[in-house]
Amino acid sequence: MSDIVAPDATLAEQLRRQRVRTTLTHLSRTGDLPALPHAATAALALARTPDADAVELCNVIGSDVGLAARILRIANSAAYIRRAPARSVHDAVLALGLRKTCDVLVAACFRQLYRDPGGYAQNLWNHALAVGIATEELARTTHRLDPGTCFLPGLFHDVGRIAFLLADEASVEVIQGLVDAGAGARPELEAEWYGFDHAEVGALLAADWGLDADQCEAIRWHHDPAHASGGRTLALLLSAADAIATAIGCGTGIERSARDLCAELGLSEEDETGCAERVHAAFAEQRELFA
Amino acid sequence: MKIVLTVDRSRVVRAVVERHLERFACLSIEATTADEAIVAAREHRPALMLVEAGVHAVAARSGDAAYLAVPVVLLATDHPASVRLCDDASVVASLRKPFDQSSFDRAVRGVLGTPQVAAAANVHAAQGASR
Repeated sequence: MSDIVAPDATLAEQLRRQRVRTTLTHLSRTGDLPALPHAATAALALARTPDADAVELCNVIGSDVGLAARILRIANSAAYIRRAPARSVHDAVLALGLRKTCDVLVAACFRQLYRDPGGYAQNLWNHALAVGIATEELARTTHRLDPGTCFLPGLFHDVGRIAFLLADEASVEVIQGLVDAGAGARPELEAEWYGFDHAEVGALLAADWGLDADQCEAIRWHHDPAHASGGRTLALLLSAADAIATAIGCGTGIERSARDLCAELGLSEEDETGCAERVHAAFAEQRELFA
Repeated sequence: MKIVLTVDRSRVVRAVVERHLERFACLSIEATTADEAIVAAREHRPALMLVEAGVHAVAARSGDAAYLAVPVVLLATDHPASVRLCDDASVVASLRKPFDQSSFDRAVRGVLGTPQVAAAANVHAAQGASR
């Protein structure tokens, strides 16, 4: 796929994206980058459409029987059930709301990328889900951004790591060993081997999948929010969410403490503790739903 | 057992090479600079060296007989200077970083033979081995 870039994007940036794409496809056994199923990309497109309606989303969900059953199960779970149980996909969409249904649908599809055997992919999935929940919760607590726009960037923030795992498992294990041994931070070790890090890959994939430019920029800089030219607030939320996920036992290594990052967001220790407790409870519920 | 010397400034590259070498019956040693590579080549007489292109350029210029006698798999980039080094007499193959296991196997099998399941023992060069 060729990259559609903003008019002010530099040639160097375009070449860099092309290099990321070429390197990963070269390493991959299939010659492809990880892709979302059609239903997920259709839902993401609908989420960006201001006048999208429930019928269109029901049609997307209805195109996949397994997905429809999953959406119903999620709408009727303790985490989401409102009044009467949902009996149809339409009921489920009304119960969850359009945006949350899109989030759930994309998450259910995205989960399929983490089916690789072994604990590593499972840990990455748990981390992705926890950061998605934490980013939304931090947006709600800080009033910095619309919480409804924050779950998917959180969910996708480390997708570069699953891309590395799917393309180049041996090197991922080597890099993880070096991180565990304290030999360096993951992004710099990845850059030594690939010439770029997982955040850069994540931004590229998120753009392919339809996230907007600020969301992609936030994913690109979630380890270093100060460098983000757009989406800096979201990058900071992602970084803090990463730290909170670690604090509740779903981490994979962070450079800064949750306290530092939450303080930068203006949260007191009490706010941070409350936020972490809500994230922990929501994660416990949602982990089962996406198992 | 054959000795294989890996020379690269990147600890990640050295660790990935060591990982791929586990499938061959060999002894893996490491160095990070041209000087260390020359010393290791003299002391250990490796059967094969996997050498970062820039480091190989420096080490080969030294004219050291022990270094130049060992077949080299170049750990290359797509930089033109890296490509030119592939013409050196001692270079038997070239691997563009990052590489996968099957590319690695193809590059080294001329010297090391087919890969085996048994893990190799690994030691590190006494001089300058750095992980």
